[in-house]
Amino acid sequence: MEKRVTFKGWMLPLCLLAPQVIITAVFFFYPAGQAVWQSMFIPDPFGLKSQFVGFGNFEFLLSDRYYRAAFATTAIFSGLVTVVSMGLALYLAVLADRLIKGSGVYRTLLIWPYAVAPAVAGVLWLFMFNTRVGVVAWYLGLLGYDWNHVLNEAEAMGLVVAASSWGRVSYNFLFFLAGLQAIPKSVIEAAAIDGARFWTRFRTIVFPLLSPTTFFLLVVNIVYAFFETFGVIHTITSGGPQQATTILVYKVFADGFVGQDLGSSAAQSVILLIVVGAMTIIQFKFVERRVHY
Amino acid sequence: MATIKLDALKKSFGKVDVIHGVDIDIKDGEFIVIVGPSGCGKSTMLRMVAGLETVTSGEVQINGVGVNDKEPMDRNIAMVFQNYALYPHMSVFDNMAYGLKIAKTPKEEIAERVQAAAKLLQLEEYLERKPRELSGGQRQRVAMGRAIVRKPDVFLFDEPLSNLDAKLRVQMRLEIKQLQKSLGVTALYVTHDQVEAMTLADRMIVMNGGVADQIGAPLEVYKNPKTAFVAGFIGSPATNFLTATDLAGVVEVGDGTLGIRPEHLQLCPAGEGSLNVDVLYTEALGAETLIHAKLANGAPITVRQDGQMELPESGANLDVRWQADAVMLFDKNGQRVANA
Ligand SMILES: Nc1ncnc2c1ncn2[C@@H]1O[C@H](COP(=O)(O)OP(=O)(O)OP(=O)(O)O)[C@@H](O)[C@H]1O
Ligand SMILES: [Mg+2]
Repeated sequence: MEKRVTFKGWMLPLCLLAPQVIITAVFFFYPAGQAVWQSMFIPDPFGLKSQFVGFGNFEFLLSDRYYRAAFATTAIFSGLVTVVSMGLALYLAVLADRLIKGSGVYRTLLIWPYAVAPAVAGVLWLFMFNTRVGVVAWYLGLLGYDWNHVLNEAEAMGLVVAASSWGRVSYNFLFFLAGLQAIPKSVIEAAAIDGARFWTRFRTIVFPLLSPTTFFLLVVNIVYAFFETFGVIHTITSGGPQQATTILVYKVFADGFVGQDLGSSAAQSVILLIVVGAMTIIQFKFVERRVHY
Repeated sequence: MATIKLDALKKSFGKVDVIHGVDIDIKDGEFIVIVGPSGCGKSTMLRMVAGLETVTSGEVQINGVGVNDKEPMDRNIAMVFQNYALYPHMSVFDNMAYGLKIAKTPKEEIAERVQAAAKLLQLEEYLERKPRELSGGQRQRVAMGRAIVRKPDVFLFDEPLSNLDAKLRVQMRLEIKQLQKSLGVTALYVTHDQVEAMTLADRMIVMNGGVADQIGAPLEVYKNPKTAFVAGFIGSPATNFLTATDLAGVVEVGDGTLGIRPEHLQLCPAGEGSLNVDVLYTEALGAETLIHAKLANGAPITVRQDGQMELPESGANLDVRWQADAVMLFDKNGQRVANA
């Protein structure tokens, strides 16, 4: 069956497309083009004139130890955020799926964290773990653990991962729960009769049938961890200590707006754009093909 | 190979009682059909035997052992679901091999047994396909295959044919019966179709609102229904029920009813039979003809006669007559009473 809609003239399709095209042009192509343009210059500190350097900014970045460290940090950070937020959400969704009564209340309660803005979430977590007045830090102290994310790099990373994952869990939970409930109950029952116990059923039936949902969430969560966690990191650690939590998007900000190195900052944006674009394409090309049954 | 015993089996969902206590002893290799109208608790009963539904009170025994607390996988049963419940992400082969793989059967034996089942069910060409690439009848066969490769003690079927067209249904009905007989596996089969029940069953359980109204061989149930419900449900077209006012003193029924099957009524010229009727319309089905008529007081009555016989005109005024021993009498609670 022909799925494409065919139009007689040009006007209607143009009008239908225009809003999307205009929005993409104004908010994506124009700034992206600007970034590409700027990435080839080094402006002077007062912004009065710039010097053309071609790929100089990129060459410098790729040989910069700190920039490469930010790459590694981003990989660890987004990997942890994705695994923690999706893993926890899947666990909660499996529990909620078994519980028929009261799952409405449970679901509503679980969605609340998603309504909290990342920066606010960052502040909340910061208060709890504040080395001087934080509740959690205080209790940890009672247990003999000296919490100090201001100095300890692993603790700083743990804290931003927790704060970034927290709000995401509810979002992921909703999708996982919907995915689980779309699996016909009789298929699970058939597997039970075929001899599969809970964990075997999960591994061989539930998880494979859930894979379209998992794949979608994987893409969305990685993009989230790459970009939208800026607020959390800014409020909690400001990229420290010793740049231990400086992920790529934070470095764009730190170098460009704090360090006033706009050329390098623009080059970083371009690299970030390419990395995320490439990752999404790879995910769609190779993973998506396997998840449809 | 197994015997099954249901002992005062009851089920409630919350405050709602769905099964009110069913008892039956099922012999090894017997084919039992549970039949009844929609919502009478057939599936619930089957699912209790499968272990998919908890038992409220009473007991399910398989091979003389109580299994109330056993999980489905510990009962050595196989079930064919109404919607087939195939694993959508697995090939036909993997669907059938799933249970064997879990039981850690050696690879060669799995291949052998799946091939054998596929041959029996004419699925050999489709082993590599996914369920969505199969027709309804083929899916149904895969579901059967998945049940038989495991060589279970008991087959459970929940309306396995209801999604098929009429012709395929007749064909699959025969195949299921042959398969069950050749494998010698005890079977419990749920349907709301009384023709399926009549043709498949060694014995059938006629369910009426959570109560087993009658348990017996199909012909026994047809000839000798114990309640008005069974008389009305088994046999097509349905039994005519006449009250005292309909009968106007021809037979004494008190506050009960008289049941007479359409095939036990004959039309005859007015004045020669027991009751006077006006013919409303006729349905000629070829081999048989159904004549719908009304009594003097307007109550409907159906007569079934051979297709060779002459058709009465619509509006004709005729009599119906019957043999005295064809009459079934029921008291006001629908229980059968002896003919006077
Ligand atoms: N999980 C449940 N919770 C509450 N009531 C239920 C549940 N499952 C079934 N019932 C009720 O139990 C009764 C019997 O249901 P069941 O599915 O056994 O009927 P059935 O005889 O199989 O009907 P059908 O021919 O339509 O499949 C119905 O009235 C139904 O509403
Ligand atoms: Mg049912």
